[in-house]
Amino acid sequence: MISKFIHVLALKIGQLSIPFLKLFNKTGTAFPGKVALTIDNSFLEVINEKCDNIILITGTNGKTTTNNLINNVFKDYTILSNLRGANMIQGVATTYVQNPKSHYTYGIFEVDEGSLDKVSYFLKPDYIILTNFFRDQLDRYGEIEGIINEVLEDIKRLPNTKLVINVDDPYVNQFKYRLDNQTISFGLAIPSNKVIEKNLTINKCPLCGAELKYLKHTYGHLGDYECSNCGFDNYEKDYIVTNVIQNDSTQEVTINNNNGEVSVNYPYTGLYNAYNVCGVFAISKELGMDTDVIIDNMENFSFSLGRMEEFDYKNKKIKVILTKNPIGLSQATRIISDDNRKKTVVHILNDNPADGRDISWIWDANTFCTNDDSIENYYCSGIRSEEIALKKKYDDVSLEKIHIYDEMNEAVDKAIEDDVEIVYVLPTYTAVFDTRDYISEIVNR
Amino acid sequence: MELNIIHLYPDLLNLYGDTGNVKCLKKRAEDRGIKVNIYNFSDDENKPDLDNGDLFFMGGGSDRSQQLVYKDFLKYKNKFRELIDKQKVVLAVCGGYQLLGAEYIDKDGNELPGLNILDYDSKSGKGKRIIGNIIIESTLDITPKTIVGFENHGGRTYSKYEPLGDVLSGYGNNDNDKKEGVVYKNFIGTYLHGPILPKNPHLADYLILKALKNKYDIDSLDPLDDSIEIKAHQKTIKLYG
Repeated sequence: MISKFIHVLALKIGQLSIPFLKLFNKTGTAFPGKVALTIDNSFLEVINEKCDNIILITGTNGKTTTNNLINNVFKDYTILSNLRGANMIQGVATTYVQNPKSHYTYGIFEVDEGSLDKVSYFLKPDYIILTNFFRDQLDRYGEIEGIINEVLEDIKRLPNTKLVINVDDPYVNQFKYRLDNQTISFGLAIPSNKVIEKNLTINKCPLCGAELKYLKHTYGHLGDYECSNCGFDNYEKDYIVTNVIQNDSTQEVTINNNNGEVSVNYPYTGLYNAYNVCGVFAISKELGMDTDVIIDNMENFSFSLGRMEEFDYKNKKIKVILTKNPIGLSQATRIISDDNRKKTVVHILNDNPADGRDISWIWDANTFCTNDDSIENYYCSGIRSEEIALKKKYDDVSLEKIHIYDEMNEAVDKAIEDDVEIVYVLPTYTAVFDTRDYISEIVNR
Repeated sequence: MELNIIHLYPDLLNLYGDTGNVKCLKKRAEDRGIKVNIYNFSDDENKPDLDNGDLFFMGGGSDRSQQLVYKDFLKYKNKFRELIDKQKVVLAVCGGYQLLGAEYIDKDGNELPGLNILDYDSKSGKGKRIIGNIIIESTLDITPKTIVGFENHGGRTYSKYEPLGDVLSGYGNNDNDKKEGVVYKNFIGTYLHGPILPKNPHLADYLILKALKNKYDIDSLDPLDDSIEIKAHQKTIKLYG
């Protein structure tokens, strides 16, 4: 009774933080949850009670895409989910503070590997999806083996949770061998790159330490492999991608399981996406979803969230393009320079850890072709606004066209008043959500 | 007036946007009406004559690239040392800075022989790679005294030369002495990326003026509109100072 009272109190006070965040033009994908958790550290119990099924997604890459894709497959149901990728415990709590309902059919959450212990302590998952483990988070967490062992220990406490695992990753596949949980495995069995890049593979068997031999290689350390000593391998899979045809902007992914073979025309390319498609197909089938619905909802999936997303505002367009590395910025520059309309550009350059602390990457991008007359102004914004302004100066943009506004909303406000047909907005990773939220708010006014 | 910039191995030593330093030297000279010629000195037959260079720039590259540069530039090391002793202006950043010393290290921490053009050593760091924003107070006669940038290096450099500056925030050459870079005559070696020159225009002008002094006995430069540069410089200090 008392704990219920505290849960409600935490919810209400968490909700009170939302208008304050709006006051400062922050939507806060984690802050309201942080407030609720400060008052009530077992706040996630509420979510556990209200969701019929709980699915957690963890691993290094593909969490946000997997989560959004599952949500699209199950879009006719009531779902609570952290679609924007705020994947620490506060982000999970925030979803409920922002959208409290009496009941959800599914609670689907991506969870940072380092937060799985806390989240799964309260949310008792029916399923955990393990995508992959790559070495890109060493700065945050130390050695990758350490992280994996922590995840293993976390799941040991959850013997009834079923695991949906990408067995092409030896790091992930070891979960099947080391744990007694029921596992559903997925992976690729397509003719792929047989030239094995030694430095990308895992040389030692994660179970016994003997040499791990690769026979096929898809990307990174993913592929077909076997241990000559203990018999560790990934040859048996429940859901197998048997063929992938890459087109310009789509790919046809053929998946085989014991119910037969299906083909999905998925609207995004890249072999890593074939893994995402297969994992989502596997969990959807396990949850009893109709195959045709799965295929339809995968084929009509649109993962916009500031990735070439277009808005209408008065008589002009606003286009948001996430630019987080030199290749992305060069391509965005090319798109802008190929567009003959009268236009203005907003750059938002942050240097938060998720953006990369080092902003020198903007000098590796080819942005020189943007000094043409069809561009009215450059509004430079974000934590390192002056750095992108300086780069524009070196791109030979005349100084009258370069404006510095530290605050994103101020820069956007100025840009949309320009007498142009289209406003291009180029945020880095940590700026993209706030930026598209702010633009959505403007266009809906 | 005319300045010749020799860009050493631009195709091999091209990491972290440091090529921006050459753009900066060029632009700041041209904005003052000085003609600038850029010559690429690379791993091929068409090498420009080093004697014609007024300003030299060398960045850092991958281990493989640095090995290629090492092999190729060995033939020119005595010549290059002679030029440095004749007060030619040289800026070497990160991998290039290490490579010109007696020893340098690869990404796995192996110590390899450097070109030994200057007498400093880079050793494998026992601790972690040093990554982060850095602010130093320069030993050079420049205003402001601060130089800002970003460092990202595994090796630790130990030198008896005058440093480029004392570290106010960050690490610099190594974990111990709180010094950053080296200065020997008109040679400057530094770990600072950013690239270093655009947002430290006073350092860029210091180099340009030294080159003009050598060639034309000129003692001052016309001021430029550096409002954006100063804002970028000050923002780094505000955020990370």
